Amino acid sequence: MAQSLAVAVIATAAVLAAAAVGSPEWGRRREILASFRTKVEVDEIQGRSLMALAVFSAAAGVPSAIGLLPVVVLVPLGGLVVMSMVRHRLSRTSGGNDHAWLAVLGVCAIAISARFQTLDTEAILGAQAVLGPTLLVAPYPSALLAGLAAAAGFISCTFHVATAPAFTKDLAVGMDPLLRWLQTALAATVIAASVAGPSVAILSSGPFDLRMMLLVMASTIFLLVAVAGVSFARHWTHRIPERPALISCAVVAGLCLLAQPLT
Amino acid sequence: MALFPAGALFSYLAFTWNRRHDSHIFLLVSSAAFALSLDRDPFVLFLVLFIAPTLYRAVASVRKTAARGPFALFALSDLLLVVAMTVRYGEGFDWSFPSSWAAGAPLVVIAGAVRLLGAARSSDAIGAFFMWQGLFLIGWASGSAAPAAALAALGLFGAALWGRRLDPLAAFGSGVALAMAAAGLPPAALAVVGLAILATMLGERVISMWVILMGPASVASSASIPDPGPIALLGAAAGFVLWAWAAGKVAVSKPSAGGRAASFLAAIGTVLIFLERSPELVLWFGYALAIASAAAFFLLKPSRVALDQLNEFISRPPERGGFAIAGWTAAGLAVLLLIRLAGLGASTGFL
Repeated sequence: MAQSLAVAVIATAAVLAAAAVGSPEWGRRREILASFRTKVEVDEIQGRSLMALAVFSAAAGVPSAIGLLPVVVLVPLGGLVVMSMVRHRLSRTSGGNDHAWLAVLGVCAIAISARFQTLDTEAILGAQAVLGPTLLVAPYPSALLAGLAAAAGFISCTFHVATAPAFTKDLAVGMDPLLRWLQTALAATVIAASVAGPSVAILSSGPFDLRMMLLVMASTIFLLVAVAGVSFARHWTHRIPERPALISCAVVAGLCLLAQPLT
Repeated sequence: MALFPAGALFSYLAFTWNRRHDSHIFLLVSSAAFALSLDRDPFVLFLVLFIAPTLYRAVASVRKTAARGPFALFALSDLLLVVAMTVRYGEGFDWSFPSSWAAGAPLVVIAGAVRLLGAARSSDAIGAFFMWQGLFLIGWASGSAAPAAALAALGLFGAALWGRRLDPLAAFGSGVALAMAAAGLPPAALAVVGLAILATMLGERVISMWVILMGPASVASSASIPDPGPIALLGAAAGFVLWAWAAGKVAVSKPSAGGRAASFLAAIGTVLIFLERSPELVLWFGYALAIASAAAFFLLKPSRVALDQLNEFISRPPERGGFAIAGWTAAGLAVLLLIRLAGLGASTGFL
């Protein structure tokens, strides 16, 4: 358990750092850090508890997405919904299309899991450790559909973090970037971990194996690049018309749900 | 199962404490009838005790031209219950529902869901009473009718999203309760969600909202789909989509005071359920909570405006749903248990 907790702390910090480094706000990191050094002021009476809920969702969501917690994939997705609601409560806005993107993201994650005929993250990552990453394992039409679901999921991640609620001036400096990083870290981890395993969680449960170590390193690099990539892609997401992209991703995700399972 | 009449008693005390209430006697008598109806044999006696409050109240609401919508739903629920019991009686009635799809259990679950929908429409003391009855029906029969409970949960999420003239948070909480019942969680879990819905009816919208939102986490952490086919996956996807949308809708409702005891008890109950289902998960949540608390404490501070709001909130007089009421409910629960034990002793010749 202590080993798993240590892995969880390192993994969460690493994906959060990847989201921060890839994001457009990385250039003004000193300003953001300075705003937190003096503590950000929140007008909301429940401000601290809401912020705690957002961090809680990431701190529990990332380990569950990489298979350290024995839960189904819906738990980190639920954390993402909670995080999104925190953003809107703090900004006192209704959320716009945010929920639509969350729904598409959820269906994409379920579509990827459908290949392994289970929603259990531990089982998915365990199967990946034996068979290989989701996209490379036969049957190939099913692998192609899982890949499409992953692509749609990554696109919906970028829209999800790009469409930001209108924060007040103080919150926009420190709070908004932090919430975006947390959201990116969790959303991209959910998709990336179910696409390319084995996850780092497998090291805390089995004996040392060099081949497995190399595979875990490769999948971890993929995970961090995917998180940074989603964070970076927010630059140009605004140029894409939102509604057609949403409908396209929803159709892709729906089709991928019917993917042929891995037998 | 005695938790549900105790919940009804708690609702009665919470709504009528320190204030005159039009339905004082009705609520007291109905709660007692509800408590007495459990395990009553022959089943006709159970039905009479269980549905008499609806019939009385429906007639009263027609006379007074009060809101008729909720009572139409409660009456429909009663009708479904009578049909279900009649079906069941034809096969030899007993109080345990064996796993049989055609034995009326799905109808009982639907009757419970309709009662919850009516409660979400009225959102008052009477609605709270019927909500406990609905939760009892679901807890009683859902073990034999999990698919019906899952479908009813989707229906209530949809009602929370698109329904008019109902409290979205109460409807959403009812959907969560049905999802929990479909996943096989014990009746105590339903009672916890019932407390959270009661807190929303009393005016508390913050802690109860998070308790209701944590419900699906307990479902997701305990539910297992060993070999999910396309239908099960599409159902899971549809459930998640509806849940995400409805959760987004209920989250923007404004917080207010009232019913703090009910919401605190619901929060404690949620932790206990997690502890009972998966102690490892509680350890993980403790780890995440420690990080979250540290981040919130070291990165944020309340502004002058927030501090003023907080001071005003603290200086308010004690509101409905206080801890004294919870104590009285516990005493009421103890009396109920004593009566039941005395009845058992008398029937077995022990006393």
